[in-house]
Amino acid sequence: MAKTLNEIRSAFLDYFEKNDHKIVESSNLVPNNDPTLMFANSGMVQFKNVFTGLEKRDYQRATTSQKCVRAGGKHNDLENVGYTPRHHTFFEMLGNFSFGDYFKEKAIELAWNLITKEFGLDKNRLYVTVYHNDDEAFNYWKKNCWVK
Amino acid sequence: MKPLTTGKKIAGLSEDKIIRIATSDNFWSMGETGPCGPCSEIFYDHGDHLEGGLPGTKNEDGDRFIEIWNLVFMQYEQISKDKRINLPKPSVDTGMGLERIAALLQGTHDNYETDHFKKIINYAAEILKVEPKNDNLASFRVIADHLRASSFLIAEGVLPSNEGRGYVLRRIMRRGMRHSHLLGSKEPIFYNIFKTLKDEMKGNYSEIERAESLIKETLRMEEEKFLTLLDRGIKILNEEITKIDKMLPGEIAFKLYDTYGFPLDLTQDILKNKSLTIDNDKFQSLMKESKELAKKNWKGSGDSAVDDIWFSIKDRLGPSEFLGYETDQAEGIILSLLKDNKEVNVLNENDEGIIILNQTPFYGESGGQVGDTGEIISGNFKFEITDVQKKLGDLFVHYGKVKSGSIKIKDNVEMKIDIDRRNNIRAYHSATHLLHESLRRVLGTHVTQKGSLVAPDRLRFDFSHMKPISEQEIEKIENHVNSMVQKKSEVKTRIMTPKEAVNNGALALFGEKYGEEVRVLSMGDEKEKYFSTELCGGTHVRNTGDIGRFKIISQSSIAAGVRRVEALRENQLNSFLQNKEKLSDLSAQKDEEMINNLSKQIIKLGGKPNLEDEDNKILIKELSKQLEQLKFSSILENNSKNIIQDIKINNVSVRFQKVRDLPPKELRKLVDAGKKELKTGIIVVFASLDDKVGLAVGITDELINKYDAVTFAKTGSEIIGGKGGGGRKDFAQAGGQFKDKIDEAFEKIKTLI
Repeated sequence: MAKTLNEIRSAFLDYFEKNDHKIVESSNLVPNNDPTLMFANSGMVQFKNVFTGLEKRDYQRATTSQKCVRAGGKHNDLENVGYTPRHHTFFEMLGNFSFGDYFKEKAIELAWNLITKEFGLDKNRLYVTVYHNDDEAFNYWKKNCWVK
Repeated sequence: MKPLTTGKKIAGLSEDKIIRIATSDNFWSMGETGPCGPCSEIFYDHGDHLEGGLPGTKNEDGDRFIEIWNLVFMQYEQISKDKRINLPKPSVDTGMGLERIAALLQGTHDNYETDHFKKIINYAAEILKVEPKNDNLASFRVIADHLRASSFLIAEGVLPSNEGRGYVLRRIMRRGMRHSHLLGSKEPIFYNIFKTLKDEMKGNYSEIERAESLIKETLRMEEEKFLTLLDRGIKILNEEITKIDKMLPGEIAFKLYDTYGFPLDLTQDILKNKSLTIDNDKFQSLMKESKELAKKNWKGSGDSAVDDIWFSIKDRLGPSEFLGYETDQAEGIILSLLKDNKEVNVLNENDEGIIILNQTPFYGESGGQVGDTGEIISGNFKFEITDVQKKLGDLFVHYGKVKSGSIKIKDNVEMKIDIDRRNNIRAYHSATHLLHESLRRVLGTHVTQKGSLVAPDRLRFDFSHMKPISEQEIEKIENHVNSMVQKKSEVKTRIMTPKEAVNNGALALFGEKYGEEVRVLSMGDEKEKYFSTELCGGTHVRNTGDIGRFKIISQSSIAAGVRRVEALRENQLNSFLQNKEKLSDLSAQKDEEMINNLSKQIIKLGGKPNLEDEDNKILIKELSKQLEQLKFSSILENNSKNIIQDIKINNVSVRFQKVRDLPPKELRKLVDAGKKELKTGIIVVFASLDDKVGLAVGITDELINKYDAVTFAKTGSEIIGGKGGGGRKDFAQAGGQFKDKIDEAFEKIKTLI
């Protein structure tokens, strides 16, 4: 039987926990470290100061399911909601984060294994994009993914 | 920008699967400066029964190839517009929409077809007694989505209002309610559907359960308000429709939308049924203006921007240790000194500055409780502390001025807080907890703290509650607090995990983040149990008896759905009550004088003051009315002030009346009197007072097919120096300023008859 939304959330977080990530709770929708932002709109919002190096945490790998609202300010999906199968004002963003720890190769490997092994997606239906001059990422995908 | 594909198909199957994209879709940056880097996105092909092309192609926005995961590789830092450096330790940030991946794993490309959304939609359908079908699907999606957004925002304490985040919430809620209305609902439903959402989400987001009563109450109130507003909007719109031929002016549609919250699409619906249209261009331009205004007014309402300097200091020094729960004085070592927001090595006499130490007994402002004051001394050095703030959570910074001597880094010092002031603060903080619980007992559990000030001389408490508190309720609340004070019981502080605290029934702020350990304050003796249990980092009395007599001295509404009460205790309460007595003596004296004065004026005009009422305030009101009435009739009886001329023009009876020293607001009475006397005709009345002239025109019903009072009033007002005027065909009013042009204005009006 297909997994429920709640089970899928747990599967994602558990997978990254198994891979040495700390499960961090979603931060508030009303950001407390960013006066320019109306609502949290992605998983990295609570880690902004960690990425810029202003703030230190006692972990270098994290995973979250972040509450997001896109209905005001820069990202505003309000008027589309209802008329498409995919627009929301409120949604949850799953994510994994490395703060100066692993980089492209590991990130691609972790992502690939989750969706093809844990989630069992058919790899023939998968496509990826890379930035046009990002040969590193291109080669990691090429070397490690479909061919294996 | 058009996406550009440069995918090379050299060899092997895998390369066909990797597409190079040169647009900003695949390059992420935090802002104009800061971390940035390339992204890699994973797409899923939902199959060729759906329209849509691969990323980078013209048709990429279709439903077939859907992005499921975005991996961001932060490998550079943008220093300035033209300078980018490599980050020494690159980072990774990824994002995958849960609803989207859930849809995929459940074999659909429609997020609203997942188990989660189906539950909400099916329950909504049950309550609405409407079957979800293709033509109403959008409304069901909107209801499900907007219920989720609204509930989670309210759980964090955002309430519907007319600005900032509250306004966004209100728009979401009302858009949702508009769709339930479209589905035929005539009564609030969202607060009922909430149950399914709670059951679905409480496992992962406990705030949704803790805030249940606040969420339901807020949803229900807003829906009720919105339904009344729909009724009112429809009434106003119907009235406006009688005044137009084909097109509703954009201003009216905008006013309905902006002032009355009446949705444009609803206005359009109603007009469409009557084959009418809206001046859409005007509406859109007004809309744009108002949006720009809103943008200008949006300055954010999170914490003030985080000062970089505190990050670097905190990084170096670590947190300060707070000793203030146990002690009022302590010794410490100076770790950092700041003057004019820069770190310095020495502070000298008369310098204003900031001191940071390894430890401190001074409370830093937080949770509504103000910072301590007091002094730091060492030899002849004396620093007077005026405020203490906490930076980045646990860095205590002491603001003040050097009274004598000087101090340098690493010096040993003694710290003493102002104990009397702190004791008052303790009492007000404990009183705040008792008040909070009493409010919940008397008004309901929807009461949630929205703001708090705990000062040495008063307390202020803001909380969610939709209506004024009655006198009886206030009395009950005060009785709760005072009875807990009188029982003189010990106040208990325990340290536990957040989970244990909630299990102990602790009131926690919804959505607030707490560390691994929390302080739990319990106080008040109620049948061997605690009356109030709350998470709190503040300082409190040891015994509730230390709080003293408690009284709420004011209440007000500070925003939609938020009430504020202010309260005093013991010392401040006693002096407040004494002052109040003095003030009320004074005001009684003033009332007496006023009554005498009014009575004299009434007698002077030949009237007899009516002094029957016993309440002085009501008496003043009644006497003022009586005096005004007398003035009015004495002017009308005065032939030199009130001149009436009845004439006939083209067989129409016309009354021309000028009155001196009469306020223009009385004009309507004269026109009505004139209509009664003439039965059929036109009444033109001018009234002047000081340098103001008023003009009113009345036309009896039989003549409104031929004449228009608005045109008459406009014509007249142009001559007396006014700006148009307004009204209806049978009655119109205008203002002006030239008394000596009244006759000329009348002559001009005559030409219209």
